[in-house]
Amino acid sequence: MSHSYRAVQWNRQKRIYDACLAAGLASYLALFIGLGALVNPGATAETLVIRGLGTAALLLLHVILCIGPLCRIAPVFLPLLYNRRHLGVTMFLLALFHASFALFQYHALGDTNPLVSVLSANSRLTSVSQFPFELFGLLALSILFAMAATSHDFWLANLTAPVWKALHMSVYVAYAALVLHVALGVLQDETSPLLAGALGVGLATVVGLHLVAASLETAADRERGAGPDDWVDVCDVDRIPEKRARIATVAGERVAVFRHDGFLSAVSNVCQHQNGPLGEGKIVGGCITCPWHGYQYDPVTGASPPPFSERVPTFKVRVRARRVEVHRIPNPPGTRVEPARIEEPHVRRAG
Amino acid sequence: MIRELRRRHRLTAVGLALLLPPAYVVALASRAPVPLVARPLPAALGEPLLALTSGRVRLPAQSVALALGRAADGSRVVELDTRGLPALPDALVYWSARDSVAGSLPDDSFFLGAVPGNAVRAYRLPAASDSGAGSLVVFSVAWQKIVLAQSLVRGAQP
Repeated sequence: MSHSYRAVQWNRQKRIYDACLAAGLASYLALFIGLGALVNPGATAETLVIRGLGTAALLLLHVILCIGPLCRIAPVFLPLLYNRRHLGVTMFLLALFHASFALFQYHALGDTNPLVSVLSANSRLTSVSQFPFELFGLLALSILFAMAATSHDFWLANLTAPVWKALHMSVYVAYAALVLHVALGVLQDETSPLLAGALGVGLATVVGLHLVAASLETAADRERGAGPDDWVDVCDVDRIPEKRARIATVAGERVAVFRHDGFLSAVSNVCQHQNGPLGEGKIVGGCITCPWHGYQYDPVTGASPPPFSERVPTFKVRVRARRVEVHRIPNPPGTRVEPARIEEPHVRRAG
Repeated sequence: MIRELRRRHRLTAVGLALLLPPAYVVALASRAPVPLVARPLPAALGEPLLALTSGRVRLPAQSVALALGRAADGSRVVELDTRGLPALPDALVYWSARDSVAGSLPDDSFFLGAVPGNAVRAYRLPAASDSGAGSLVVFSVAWQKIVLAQSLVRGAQP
C-alpha cells in the first residue's frame, strides 16, 4: 500500500509476476506463429501475427476471468490475483495491437478512411453468418480501454471502490462481445472443430467457475439473526484459528472476527482498497492483512498503521459460554473497540 | 453497497450462463456450408508446348507457375497456376503487345481476367499475339501498379 501517488509500486512479487507473464506471452506468440507457418505455409506473416495477438488476448482474458472465482473456491489461487491488473492491461494492449494490425491489413489499403471502412464495409446486420463481427470487437475494445485507463489506484481512490468495481464489472459485456466476435468472425471460415471446441471449453470453464463461486457467495451471505439485545451469535470460539478469522453476515454486511493472542476483535470484512475479503486474510505483524493486495489494519481500531489512512468499521464483540457474539451496530471506521478476552476452559485435575 | 454489488455480480454470472452458450451455438450452427467438391476448374493445358516460357515468376510474397501453349483451335493460351498460394484478390491479368513493360499499365493493354485464387486458369490471348510477341502483365488495383510483367517472346526466361 502507499500513502502517495506512484505510477507502479514495483516490488519483488510484481517483478516475478510480470516476468512470468512476459515470458509466457513471448513463448505463446513464438509457438503460434512458428507452428502456424509450418502447418499452414500459405498464411502470410501478417495474418499469423494478427491471429497470434488475438488468440493471446482472448486466452489471457479467460485466465483473468477465472482467477476471481478460483480464489473464492480455493485460497491457493490468491497469488494469481495479487497483480491481476497487470494481466488486464497487458490483455488490452494485445487486443489493441490485434485490432490495429487487422485495421491496417484489411481496411487501410483502400480509398476510404479505415475507421469508416470498418464500420461501413459490411451492412448485413440481419444475417447471422455474415454479421459484421468487427462491431463486437470494437465494442469489447472500447470497454477494455475504459478499464485499462482507469485501472490505476488513482482512479480507484477517486471513484471509490464500489463505483470502480461496478465499472470494471463491464468486463463481462466485453467477454460476451469477444466470444461473438470470434464466433461470427474467424469461426465462420475456420471450420476445424478444434478451434470451436477450444473456445467452447473456455466459455464453459468461465461460466461454470462463476456459477460455483456465485453459489458459495450466496451461502455466505445468509444473514444471522440478532437476539433481543442486538447481539448476533457467530460461532464457537474454538472454530476461529489463531491469527485467522471467521466471517459472518451481520446487519447486511460481512463481519470478520479475528482471534489474536487470546483476544477477539471484529471488523468489517471489506478492505478499503478493492473491497477484498479481510476475513480471508491473516494477522501479520499484529495487523489484519488483506489477502488480495496486502493492505493492513489494526484489529482493535480498524485503522491502517501510520502513515496510511485507510480505516474500516469495527464491531463490539463478546464471548458468552464460549460462543462468539458480535453487536450488529457497526462503529464508525477507525473506532477503537476493546477486544474480548477468551477465557480458557477450566480443566479438572485428577486427585 | 458491497452486498448489492455481489448480488449484481451473481446475476451477471447467471445471465452469461443463460445467454452466451446458446448464442455461441447459434453462431456456429449458422456457418455457411463448405462445398465438399470444388467447382470444376478450367482444364489445365498439361505439358506446355513452349517449354521455354514455363517456370515460376515472382509476384509479391508468392510465386506463380506460368505456362504458354495453344488451345485446340490454334489460338495462343497462357496459363497461371496459383494452387497452394494465397489469393491476390485485387490483381488483374492483361496482355500487352509490347515486349517490355514497366511503370504504368500500357494504353493498348488487353484485359484477360482476374488472377485465379488457388487454381489453374488459362487465358486466351488476342489474335494480335499470334506473332509470338507481347508481354503478360499482372496489375494490382489496390496498389495501382504493375506487380508482374513477363515477356512472352520465345526464349525469354521468367
